[in-house]
Amino acid sequence: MPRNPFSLSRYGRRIGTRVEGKEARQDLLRVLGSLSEGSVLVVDLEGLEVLSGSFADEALAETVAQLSAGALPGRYLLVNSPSDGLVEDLEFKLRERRLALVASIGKTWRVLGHLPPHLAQALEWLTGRKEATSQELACGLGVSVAGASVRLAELARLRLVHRVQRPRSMGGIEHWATSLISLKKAP
Amino acid sequence: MLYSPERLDVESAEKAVCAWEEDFPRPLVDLSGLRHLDPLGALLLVLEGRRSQEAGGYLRVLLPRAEEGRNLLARSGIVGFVEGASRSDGPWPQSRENQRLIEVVEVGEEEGVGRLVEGLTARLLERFPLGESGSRLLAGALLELLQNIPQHAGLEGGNAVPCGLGALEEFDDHLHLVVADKGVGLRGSLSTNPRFRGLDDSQALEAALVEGMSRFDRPGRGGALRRIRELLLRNAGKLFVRSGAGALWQDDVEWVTSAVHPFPGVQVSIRLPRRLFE
Repeated sequence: MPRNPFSLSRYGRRIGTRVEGKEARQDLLRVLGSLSEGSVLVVDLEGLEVLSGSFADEALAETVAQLSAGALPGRYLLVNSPSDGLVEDLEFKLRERRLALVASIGKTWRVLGHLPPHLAQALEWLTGRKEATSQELACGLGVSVAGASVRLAELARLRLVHRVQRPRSMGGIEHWATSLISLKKAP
Repeated sequence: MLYSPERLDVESAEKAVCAWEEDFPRPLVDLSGLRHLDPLGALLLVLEGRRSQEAGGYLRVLLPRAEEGRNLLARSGIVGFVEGASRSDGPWPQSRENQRLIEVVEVGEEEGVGRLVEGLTARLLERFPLGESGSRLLAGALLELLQNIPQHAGLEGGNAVPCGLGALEEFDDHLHLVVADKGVGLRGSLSTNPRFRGLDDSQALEAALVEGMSRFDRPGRGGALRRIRELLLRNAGKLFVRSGAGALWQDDVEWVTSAVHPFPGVQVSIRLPRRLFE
């Protein structure tokens, strides 16, 4: 999937207030809107010393909330952070809002925020495989195809995976999902 | 009887606040025996000056007699904030900016908060390096507390000019950060939400600092005070928050609320062990 960088250090090293976060969110949404469907915007935290909860909530958690509510279909957001500590307040805000966002931290990844265990398991499995159909996920997790399909649909609604429908050679359609990231899961 | 404290700090400021109130709006502020002034005492004095001025009065100040006390006051960083709101028994002692012990800033619009935090953090960094976690904790707390003032302290309907201030002082074993205002207070802010009407000041402190409540119903808004309290818990910091007629102390894992002499606004004192920054 095409990945586009967006550095938050353009707003300063120690950010910031809610007002600044709102401005950053407008920039993020504008850039996301300019991307083609199936693209990922990678919000890079390299160069930051502080990402306050207020800024993180307005800029990132609110953007995630809008995407999860259906805005800008087919566009995805990831965070790339040099350390766990830097995303602590962002994670706190996402948890409060029961939202989730994938973060790459060094050479690993993890989900920030709130993700029910059955969805976390499906996401981990899919990320290990890079892509899969509902049927493959069902086999991989030992759940029904319907159960796997529901998991992928929910992960796609949360914009944690890219999911498309495609016709099956035997007739009908199948759901096919792609991971946003190809790193090892953080232990 | 004239209250003439040697110390004006977190532990002793309550008595001073109570004594000043007797003659408000022309409180007699006896600093003649002053030997210790911390950022909380300093900012309470500035706020008392502002509210006296707004009420048509002024501070009547007895300045320190001893050289030690005069130096302390001169280097406190508050002379410029207090001098114009007072009548004193002599000229206020002055110092150069680079000799100041306490860095004091005034908060205006929310847009200026980022610059204030940058400035305060940069001045601190000049004196000693901040480690990653210490820098994050300090700058993060400053950002959240200072922006709370324009967001909460001067709510429409309140008759107070919030007058937000921040102060930072370094000691051998800890850093002391204070953010203070004389706005509507936590109870005043929370009570704009019908869910929180009827809370007293101590209950409002608990709601904000322990339960993470704010006047906003939307998840993600508010909660900064609780977050700061939790971070201080993890980092062996000490917290004292005063709002209206209530105060909350936290030292190690224990916290307690108590009634204090009423004073408008919210005053937050954070003491962080210096080892966090090394």
